Amino acid sequence: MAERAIEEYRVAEEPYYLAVGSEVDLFEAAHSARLPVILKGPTGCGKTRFVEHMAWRLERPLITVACHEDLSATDLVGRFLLEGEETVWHDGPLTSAVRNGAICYLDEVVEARKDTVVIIHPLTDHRRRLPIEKRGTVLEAPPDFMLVVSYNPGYQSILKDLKQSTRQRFVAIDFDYPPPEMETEIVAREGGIDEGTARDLVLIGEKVRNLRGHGLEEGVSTRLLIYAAQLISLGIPPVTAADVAMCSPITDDRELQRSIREIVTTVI
Amino acid sequence: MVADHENEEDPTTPDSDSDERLRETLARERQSLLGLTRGMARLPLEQTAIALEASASIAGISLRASAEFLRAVPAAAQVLAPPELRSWGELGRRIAMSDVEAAIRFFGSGASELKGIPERSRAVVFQLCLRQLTLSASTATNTFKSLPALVESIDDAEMLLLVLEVAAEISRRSAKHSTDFLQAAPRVTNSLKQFSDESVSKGGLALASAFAARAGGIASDAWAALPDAVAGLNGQNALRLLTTTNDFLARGGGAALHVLQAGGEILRRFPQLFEDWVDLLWIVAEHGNASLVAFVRSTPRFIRGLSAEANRSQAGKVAPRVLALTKKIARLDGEAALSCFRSSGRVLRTVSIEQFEDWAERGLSDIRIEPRARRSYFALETRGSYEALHTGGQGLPLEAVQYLLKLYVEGLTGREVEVAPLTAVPAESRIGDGRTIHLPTFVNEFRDEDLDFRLYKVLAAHAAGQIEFGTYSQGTHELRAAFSAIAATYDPKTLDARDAFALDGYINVRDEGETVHSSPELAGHAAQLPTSGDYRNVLHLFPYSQLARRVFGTLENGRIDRRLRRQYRGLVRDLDLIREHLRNGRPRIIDLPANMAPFELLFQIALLGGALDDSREYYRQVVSELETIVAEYLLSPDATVADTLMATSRVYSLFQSITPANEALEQLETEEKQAETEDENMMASESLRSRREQTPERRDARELFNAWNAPNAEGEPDELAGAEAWSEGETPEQTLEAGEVAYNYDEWDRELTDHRLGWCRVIEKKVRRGERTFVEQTRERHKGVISSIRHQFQLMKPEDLTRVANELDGEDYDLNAVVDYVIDRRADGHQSERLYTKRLRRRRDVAVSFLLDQSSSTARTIGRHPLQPYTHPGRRIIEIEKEGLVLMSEALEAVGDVYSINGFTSEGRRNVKFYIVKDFDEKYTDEVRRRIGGITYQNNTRLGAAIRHATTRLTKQEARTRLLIVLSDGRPYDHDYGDARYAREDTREALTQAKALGITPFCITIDRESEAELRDLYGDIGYTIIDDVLSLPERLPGIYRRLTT
Repeated sequence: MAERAIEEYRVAEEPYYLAVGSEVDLFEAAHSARLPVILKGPTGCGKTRFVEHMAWRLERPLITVACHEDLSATDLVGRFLLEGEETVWHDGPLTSAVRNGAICYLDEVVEARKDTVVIIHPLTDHRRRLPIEKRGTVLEAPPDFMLVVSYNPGYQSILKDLKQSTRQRFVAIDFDYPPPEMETEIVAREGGIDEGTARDLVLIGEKVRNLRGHGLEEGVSTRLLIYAAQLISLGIPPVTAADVAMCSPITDDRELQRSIREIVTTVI
Repeated sequence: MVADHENEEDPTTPDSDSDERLRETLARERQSLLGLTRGMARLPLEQTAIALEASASIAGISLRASAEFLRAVPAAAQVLAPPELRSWGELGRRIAMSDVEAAIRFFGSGASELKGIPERSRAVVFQLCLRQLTLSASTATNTFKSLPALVESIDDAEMLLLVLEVAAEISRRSAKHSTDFLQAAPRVTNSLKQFSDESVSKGGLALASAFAARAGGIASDAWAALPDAVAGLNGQNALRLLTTTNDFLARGGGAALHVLQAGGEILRRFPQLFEDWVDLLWIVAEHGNASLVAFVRSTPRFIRGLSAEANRSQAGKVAPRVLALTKKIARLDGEAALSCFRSSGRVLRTVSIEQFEDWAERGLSDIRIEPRARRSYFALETRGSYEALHTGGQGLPLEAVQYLLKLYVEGLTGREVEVAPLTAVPAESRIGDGRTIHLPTFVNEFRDEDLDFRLYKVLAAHAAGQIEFGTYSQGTHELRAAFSAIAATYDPKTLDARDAFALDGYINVRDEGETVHSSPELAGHAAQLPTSGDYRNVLHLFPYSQLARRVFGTLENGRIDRRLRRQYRGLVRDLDLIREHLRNGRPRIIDLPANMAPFELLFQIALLGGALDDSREYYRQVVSELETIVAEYLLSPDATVADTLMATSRVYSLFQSITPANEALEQLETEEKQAETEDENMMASESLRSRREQTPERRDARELFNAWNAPNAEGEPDELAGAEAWSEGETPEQTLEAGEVAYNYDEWDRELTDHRLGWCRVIEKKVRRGERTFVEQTRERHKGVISSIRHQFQLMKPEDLTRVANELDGEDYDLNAVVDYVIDRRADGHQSERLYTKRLRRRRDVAVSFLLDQSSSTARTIGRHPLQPYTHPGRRIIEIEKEGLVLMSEALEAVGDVYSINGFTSEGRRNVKFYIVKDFDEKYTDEVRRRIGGITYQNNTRLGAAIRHATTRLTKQEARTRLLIVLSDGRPYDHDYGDARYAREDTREALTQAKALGITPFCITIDRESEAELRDLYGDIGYTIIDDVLSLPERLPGIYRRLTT
């Protein structure tokens, strides 16, 4: 895995983020207190954007890891690689973040195997250390280092769940789709459209979210609303944009798709 | 003859009282005898001769009777002609044969009864009475006595004679019936005389006579039925009816009687259909009397169905076509025609006549269909025929869009709803459940699928709007205000009658002498909206609540319409489309009867965006008032259901003031009420809904909007028109207990090669809790086995990880591969980069459902096996199976798979009992253990239905591997489950369906004989036979392990 210079991870411009509650203050407080944070919420409601925003705010580099089934401890911590005649140690993203006092963001942490996730335990208690077993060293985290993880409590299967021993190390901030007025503002700004259209999109989103559990696993995320808005701003007719961004992606079930389309044509 | 003349006028007084009396009696005797002779002397010679002769023969039986006879002769001779005198005497003599006193009384009362009877009739009378004597003397004498009254009421000599003749004819076969006949005679002849045309009376009598000749006693039933049959008909039609009935007498009295009754109905309501109907009957008669009678008996219901149509003229046009169709079918097959005829009412509520004809044609033209299948087709029992009916024609069936609309409404409102067609024939449905929206079964307004769908969408959006905009809101502030205001407006008596609504208790203010509605607060005391009261409570306050309901319905639809338009921009297009369509279809206002016009106006203003021009022209004043009311109450963006109620009150008053009298409204009310009770009474045994309970398809689309508002629509359980209409007197349904839920399933009929819709009813029942001891004993008995099972199954758990080598990436190096790599590098050869090893998880994702046959065949005991000394002798199969389940549960708990244990028995197709011993998400608790202990055996094995239900439950589990394990001791059997082959085919079909849904069925059985069948049903590897039943418990976990690894 090639390393990028840590500087490349800095967030240069302010990412747009509209605070819904007191999450900004909470995060800052956690950072000062050197507490790890877990962001809980459905997909596409602004968690990643929030982390970016906070990284910019706190002026720390941000290293993101997208977690998945096959993610191993080695992937996180680092490995020796054969290069030419030598074996060279390469830092994993976690190690890199610790070393440089950056914010390490593990996105969708439940997707990773449990035996991988326990790697982070030493970092999340008062010791704040990362043992690198292969090298036989231990890395101490500087005060600026912060561990942030996110996950979606929506689809809970018994197999994929955070163990209590992991959960209880974090401070949790709950995320959800913003309330309609705020969501309208976000969609309008990010999507580049007028408020009226944004309001319509948000209304559609609200209705489709009602179907959650009645056929849909998850409702329409704010992200998808923004996609739709972006398409509209580029001249795509609203109904098509809604179809493409809000109807097809979330389900393959024909009936469900059709009923969402009918909802779309009811609103716009 | 007695001669004792000496003491005739002896005035000597006797000594004692008794002597006195005796002497008096004798004196009387003598006197009478004297008088007798004197009297006799006065008679003409012929009479005397006859009298003497007759008295002689009477004397042979009883002297006293004879004396009495002689005494009466002079008077009688005044009335009777000589031959009559003889008959009269003869009659008395016959009476005397059984009852002397009666004979004496008979003679004593004289022949005055016969006075009024014209001479010609007298002979008949005697004949009649003589015949009646065979039943009883009193019958005859009563008839005799009733003669004067009869004469008086039948004021016509001719008719009287005919009546008597018929009675005499009837009496030949049955005295009782002849009495009935005579008793009914006054009433019947009166009703016949109502007709100015005399031939009706004659016809009636001729008919009775023919009946009597042909069919005996039933003639009196026919006679008694005449008045009702001809009631309301004109002379000509009455005659037609009589003639037709006469014709059908050739087919038997019973048939003719029914024809009389049903024919009368038809002539009253749909006279134009009579000819066709009679033709049809003759064609049906070819197939036998039973068919004919069945047909005629179904006719009243058919007629009622037609009359229930709001649009009579429409019904009048449709009915001949139905009859023509039925005729066509009847030429081929009487029973099929009967089925068609019977289902026509129901069918026509949901499809157009063209579709119906199409469907019938298809049924007829399919030549390879054999009689039984054809009958089922026309009775609409099978899935195939049902589909053919609905998809054949134009129009969009609800089925195609039902789920879609359900999701749509759930999306708009966030609430869970069910969408039900207005006539439901479900494949799997809950009985007595949830909040439902009713939509028409098909829509054919535009003859274009797209546009028809948009109508559905609008209807669904309206229903969603009702939920979203608070039509059903309860106990709100505004509702309370509306309630009070309306309560105050109407009669205190009404308030009194509505006491029931004042749940909070109230002070009786009426004592104060003031009217209750003098101020809102006082009114508030007397009647308040209950805490969870809704619009219905308020509507009950109106004196004519049905009227108020109709007004409310339209107004509320208007309010919802406006809110929808404001909220959903996109929907406006569809609303406008429908509105346009409706506007174009409205009838002219002057064509409507006066009492319908106000509703039409209201409809136009509330929903169609304003009155049409002609309406405005003719009813300017009313239109402007309505518009004002609507504007005042319904236009505001925050208008609530309370506002609609207030508006209802205003419109209600307005209607009352403009309709000619309250009569028109009353008429409406009573008509509706009548229809209600009439239909209720007559359709008690049917599952068809009456007009009031359901608003069926109308050519008038307006009615589509009012389905939610039908008066009895609240809390109606779903109808099962398909299955129940057929089952007339088959295995009776057992009632559900509290908390039980029933489901309907189809069944496969191999002869029809189609499914019978909703044929079986599966009831989920609670298992009786047994003793825990059973489980404990089992565990004790199989201790060793259990621990080894536990061990084995724990090894199967997903925590196992295997190492996989030769990966491109992984946690560790594979040393061998690394060595190879280095060597290869040195040698400049091909280097593989697969140097790593990985640890992969082996996943287990299994859900299993056990289905245990609990039929009585499991009560069979198995003898003691010599090699297993610890088992008791003679254990039942069911006990052994239960043991197996206990061991299985232990195993499953150890491995952690999701499982469910169920049992089933059946008692006929409507009583398939499905016992859930352990549900999927239940823990293996004490409760479950008790239930296992409580499993017992009874009844039969309707395997098909049980498999279907188990499948339905299993499909709801999300595991990748889904197993259905059937534990059976033999073949499927139930008393209405056809022959063995039928049962097997149905079971096979159920299994096929299960497989199609991703479920793997597996059968474990102890029946050695059934190997071939099992292979047939489950496939080569889909079953296992356990030869030694006693080993079942221990083998079960092993089998399971093999299946799921």
